[in-house]
Amino acid sequence: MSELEPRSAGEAPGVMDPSGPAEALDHDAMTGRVLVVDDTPFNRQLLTRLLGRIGHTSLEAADGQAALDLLRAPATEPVDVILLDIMMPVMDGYETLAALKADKTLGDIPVIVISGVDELDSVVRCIEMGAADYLPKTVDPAILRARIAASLGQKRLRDQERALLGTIDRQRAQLARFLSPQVAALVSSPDGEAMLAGHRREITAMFCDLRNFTVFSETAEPEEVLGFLRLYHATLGALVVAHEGTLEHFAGDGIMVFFNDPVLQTDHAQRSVELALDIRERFKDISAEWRRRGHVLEVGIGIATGYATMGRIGFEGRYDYGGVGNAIILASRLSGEATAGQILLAARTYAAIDEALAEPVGDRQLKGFSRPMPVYAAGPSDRTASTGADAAEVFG
Amino acid sequence: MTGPIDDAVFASLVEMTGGEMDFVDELVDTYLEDGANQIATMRAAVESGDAEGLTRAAHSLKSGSLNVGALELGGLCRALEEAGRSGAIADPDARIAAIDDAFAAAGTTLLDERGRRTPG
Repeated sequence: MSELEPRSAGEAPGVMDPSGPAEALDHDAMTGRVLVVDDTPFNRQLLTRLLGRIGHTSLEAADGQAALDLLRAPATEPVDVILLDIMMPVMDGYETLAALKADKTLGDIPVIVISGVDELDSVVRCIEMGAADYLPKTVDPAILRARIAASLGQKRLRDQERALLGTIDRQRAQLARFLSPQVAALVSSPDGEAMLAGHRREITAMFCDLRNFTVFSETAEPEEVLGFLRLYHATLGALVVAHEGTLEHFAGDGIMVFFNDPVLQTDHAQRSVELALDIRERFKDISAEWRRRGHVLEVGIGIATGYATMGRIGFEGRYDYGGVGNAIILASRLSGEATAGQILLAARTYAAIDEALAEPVGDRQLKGFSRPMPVYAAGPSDRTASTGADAAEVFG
Repeated sequence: MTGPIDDAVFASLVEMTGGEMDFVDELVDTYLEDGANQIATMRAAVESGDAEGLTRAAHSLKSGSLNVGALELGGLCRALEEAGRSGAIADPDARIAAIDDAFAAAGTTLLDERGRRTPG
């Protein structure tokens, strides 16, 4: 049917323009695709021609059902505005409007109802149903032009808004691939700026790195080292996410994870120890596999709880989310102190967790700390089989 | 033009098209063709007792008639449409016959106007 074929604009906008010189409004220059839904061929022909004259492209449909079919056809390019007659056979304007507004993809297209002067009560009903505007049946080209322009402006704004929201979502998704999900969410949250600027909070910090990694990276082929790191990072990354820790960074074989920041977790010490135990458990198979290839690779973990100042650390152009505080230094020292497969805890972490999860292993003098401090090991260590001496030292 | 077609309304139709008489002719042709169809629809609707179809056809012909300046015809269509809406259409055959006459007169006047404008 020729009625359903798009008709392109006949002349350039402004040529033989019956409404006089164009107003200097920006949206007057906008052109769009308009769907004319009217059962009277005279009206469709008149509207289509007038629309073409002001630079718009039109499509036609003889009733509501034909309009919906056309709008939903995959080959139909998106429509910017719909001009809708009320009284039509097959599907009238009310039903069409209701169907349009109920449709997720079509609901945002502005609908201008075409109405006779004696039908103003139906206009009210249509506007209540979500129509954007109405147009008198005895068409005045200037009014047609203005109403279409206003609706196009609305539609453009809505489209821009949607595009912007889409961009933000994409950025957030991208950001989440580089940052901890918690930090990515923080960056785009309303109070994110204040949180990033710095805040003081009790946290539990966990450091994990590999014993013998230096030896391994000197003796193994670079491809082997990279392959191992990929596996190591993937394994730890998944566990950190599962335990809802905030990954501060991966640096070679070292990783640092926070708990209780930026997301509050009342059981942050307990969570960190559970994460460490899971890492050790998961690492058993990985270590065994690499031992068969002649490399001894074991994790050592340190955990400490205490106050730290958390927020944006770095300089304009390159910031990390991180913290400054004794607990963080202590966790790092304990990780350095841990033997293969060992999880060492500071006193404050030990005090906050299920007692059965760890045992005291004596006082240690740690670099940078003036006095020896009590240290605890989370266990039971099941490293006896692989690194007997280390385990014996802890749970002997 | 006098009688069936109101000069002022027709002039505003011409103005609306930007004075493009070819387009006016196209519109008039569309109107006449569709009007004949609507009247046939009205007759068929009376035959089959379809009050809704009759009302809709009257509405449709009214709209085009008012745009080309066939005000009397438009008025007859409006009366029929309103009667249809209220659910009681007295003597529909006579009403349709009156509409048919007015439509024929409007058509003649419109084509005469064209003939005067484009001799030969």
